[in-house]
Amino acid sequence: MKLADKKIHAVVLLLITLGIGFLLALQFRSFTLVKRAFLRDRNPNIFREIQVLKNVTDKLRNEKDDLEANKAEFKSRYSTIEAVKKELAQYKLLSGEIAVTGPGIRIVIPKAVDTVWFTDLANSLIAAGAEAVAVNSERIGSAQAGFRVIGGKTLLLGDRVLRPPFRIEAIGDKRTLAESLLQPDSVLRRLEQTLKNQEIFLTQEGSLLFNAIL
Amino acid sequence: MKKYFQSSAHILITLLITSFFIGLIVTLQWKAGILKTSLYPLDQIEAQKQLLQIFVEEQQTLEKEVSELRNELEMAKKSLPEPNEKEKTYREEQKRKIGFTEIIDDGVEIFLGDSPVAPEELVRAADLRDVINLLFSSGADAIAVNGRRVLPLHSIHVVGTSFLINDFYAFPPFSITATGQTEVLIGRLQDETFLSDLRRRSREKRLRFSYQSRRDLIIPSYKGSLRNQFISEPL
Repeated sequence: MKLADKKIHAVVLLLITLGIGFLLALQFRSFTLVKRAFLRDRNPNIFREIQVLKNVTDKLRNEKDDLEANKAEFKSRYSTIEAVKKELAQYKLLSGEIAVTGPGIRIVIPKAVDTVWFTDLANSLIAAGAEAVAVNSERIGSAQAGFRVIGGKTLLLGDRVLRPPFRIEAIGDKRTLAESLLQPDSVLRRLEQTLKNQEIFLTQEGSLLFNAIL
Repeated sequence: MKKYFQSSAHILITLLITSFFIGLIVTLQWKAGILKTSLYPLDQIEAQKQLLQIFVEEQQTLEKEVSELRNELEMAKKSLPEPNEKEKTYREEQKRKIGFTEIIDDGVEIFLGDSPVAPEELVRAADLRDVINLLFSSGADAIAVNGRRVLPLHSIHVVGTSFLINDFYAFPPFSITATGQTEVLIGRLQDETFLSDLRRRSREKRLRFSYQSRRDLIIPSYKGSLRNQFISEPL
């Protein structure tokens, strides 16, 4: 084989090897990015951050409007008493003293998953504006809070024992709640990927009912 | 001639193998998603940062106004006749359940901070969520992060470089205090089956994590926004 031919072959091989190396590097980066999607909080999403902030700002603005309306009511003794009664009624709704109802969404998870998924789901729902959250009709509140999966099958909410399928319900703006969970890299999407063949159902409900926290 | 064919065969085999791998990699790369990005990514990031900053400033102003209005309403209520003891107790009980009352009791304090040796290893929002979830599931009556009350219904997110806990901002290092049955809380914190990722990162000095029991902890009342626009009493 002529020397010139050998040199050409060597150059071609070198170029091919360089190309492979470049493609390998690109592929490695792709895998890294995909892996990141599965890690909690490691995939910063500026749009979700803005959405979370917007929800908080809206909530504060609405509360300010309510408080200013209450302040206006405190002009007469009679309306002050009514305002106090209204405040107590609000306390009862928020504390879980009484049953509550309202529009929202329902997610059904067919089997027990790691505790962190329940924590992150509740976190996402509340960030999206959920005013009350319940699992299998047990409302999260001061008397029952904190998730713990035991034995890989049973979920404890506080000291309530819950069994699959797990029905996670949230009362709030059902469209906003659904949209936040259906975003491409949301916790629900990541949970679906880990459950592989098992589907997680999300439905928007016109009226949900949560029992009082006993 | 034989040497020529042998040499050519070697080259051909080499080329075939490399072509196979190129084909495989190109196929994998083709299937990998393309990251969408703007033509001016730096401008986009800057605009988004400014938007976040505007939201943060507006929230701080609103929070202050909400707090002032609540104080004014409390003052106005003092002009009313005192409710009877039963009504007063009932009202205070509801406020306690929600988190509108200060709690002073024994409990635990947990310290969570960024790595002391590796500047890129930081506390994550998930770490805070896991610790707070563990405390609530262990029966904690009340929890605060850096002196601000956190309710059972809470959200924790990273926004920019700060942590947004419901509607207040917190920065590491975090002091998480919780009141309740101290022996139960400490027992859970000592249990290696809980917070395993956190413990591992702490041992590897990628995080600072420690805890201790404390006497007479003060957990302040909740100062954030609580609104019920969608929930109502059933008819």
